Amino acid sequence: MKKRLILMCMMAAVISLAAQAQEEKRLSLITSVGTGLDISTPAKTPINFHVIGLYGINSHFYAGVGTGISSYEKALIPVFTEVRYFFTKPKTFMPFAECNIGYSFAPDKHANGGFYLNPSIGMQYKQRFFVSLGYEWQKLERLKSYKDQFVATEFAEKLHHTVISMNFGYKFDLH
Amino acid sequence: MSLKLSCMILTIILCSCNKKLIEYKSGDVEVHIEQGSEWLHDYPLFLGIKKKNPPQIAIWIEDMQGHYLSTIYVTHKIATQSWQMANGNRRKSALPDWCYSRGVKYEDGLYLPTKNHPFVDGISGATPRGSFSVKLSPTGSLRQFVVKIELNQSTDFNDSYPKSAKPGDANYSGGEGGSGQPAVVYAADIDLSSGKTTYDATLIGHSSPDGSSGKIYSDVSGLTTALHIVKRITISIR
Repeated sequence: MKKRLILMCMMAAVISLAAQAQEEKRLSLITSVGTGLDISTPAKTPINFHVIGLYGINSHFYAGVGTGISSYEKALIPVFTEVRYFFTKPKTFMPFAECNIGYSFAPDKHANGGFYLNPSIGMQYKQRFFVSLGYEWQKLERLKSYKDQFVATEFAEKLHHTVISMNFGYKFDLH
Repeated sequence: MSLKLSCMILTIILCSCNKKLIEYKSGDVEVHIEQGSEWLHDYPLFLGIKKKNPPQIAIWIEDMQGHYLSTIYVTHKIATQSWQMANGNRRKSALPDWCYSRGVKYEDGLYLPTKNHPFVDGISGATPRGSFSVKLSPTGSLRQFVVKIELNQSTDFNDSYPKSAKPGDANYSGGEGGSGQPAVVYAADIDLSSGKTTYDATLIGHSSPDGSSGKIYSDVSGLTTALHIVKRITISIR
C-alpha cells in the first residue's frame, strides 16, 4: 500500500513537472551509471543506475526528481530530488554542481533502506554527456543471522556507507 | 501546488516505511545493550582531527562451568581485522577475554582473527553507534548458560592506564594507539527453566590491559570512563 502511494506521488510529481515543462519546453531526462570508493567500514563498492527528470528553471539552474537502482549489500531503490547548477551559459564544456537528496527503499524483506545524499561536481560536454565526482551517504539496515549447534542468532546491522562517488551520464532533451 | 503536495505526502510516507527485521517468539532471548555516556569516544585520526568512535563489542555464551560455547555477536573490525589508522597493530588488547575464551590460535600466534581468516560473517556486524539488541534462540537442549559481554574503547587513556606506559608495565595497553583503559566484561547467568524473564548483566571485571591473557581482573578501581560505555545490559526471555 505504501509503495503504491509512493509511486503515485512520484508519478504526480513527474507529470506536474512535465506539464510545466511542456509549456516552456525545458524538460530533460538524465540517465547515469555510477560507482565509487567506499571509505566506511564495512565497505562495499556500489553500482547504481539513475533516471532523473530535470526541469530548467533558467539557463543555469535545474531541479527535478529521480529514481533508479543502487547495489550495496542489498539492492536499493532510491527516490530523490536533484538540483543542478551550471556555472556557465550553454557551451561545449559546462561545469556544474549538483545535489541529490532522498530516501532509498530496500525491496528485500530482510533489509531497510535509508537516507540518501549525494552532492557532487561535474562537467557536461556538448550539452549531452557528463561526468561527476562526489560524496555519497547511504544508510541501510539488514538482518544478519547464524546458527550453530548451540544457538541461532539474529541482529539488525546498521550500515552507514560513505562513498567517493563517480557518475557518467547522458542527457535527453524532451522538447 | 500539486508538486508541493506530492513532495509533502512522499516525505511523510518515507518516514514510516521501515520493516521490522527481527521477530521474537516465545522462548527467544534478547540481549539489549543500552549505550552509556561514553559510548562514543574521540579517536585521533591526523592533524588533530578526531573521530567519534563506538566501542568494540563481543557477546558470547559459556556453559555454567565457564567453557566457551558460541559467539552471538562481534564487531566487524575485530572480526575481519579491518582497523583504520592502526599501522599494522593487530590490537590484541581490544577484546582479549573473548579471544582467549574462543581459544583459536592463528598463524601469527595471536588469538585474533586475521584478514585471511576472518570470523564468521553471519555473526559480525558494523559497530553500532548506539544502543542495540541481539536475538538468540537455543537450538538444542541448552537451558542454563552464561551470557558474557566484553566492550572496549581504543585510546581511552587515563591516569591509571596512561599512553606513556611501557611494555612490561602492568598498565601497558599497547602504547600511543593502544587500548587505554582495558576492556570491561559483563556477565549474566541465565536459566531458561527458572521462569525468570529479565536478567541484568553485571560488571565482573576488566580484561588484560595488554591483551596477553584471557584473565579477568575484578579490581576496576583504575577505570574511569570505561565504566560508562554502557548504561545497562539486559537479557530478556520472551
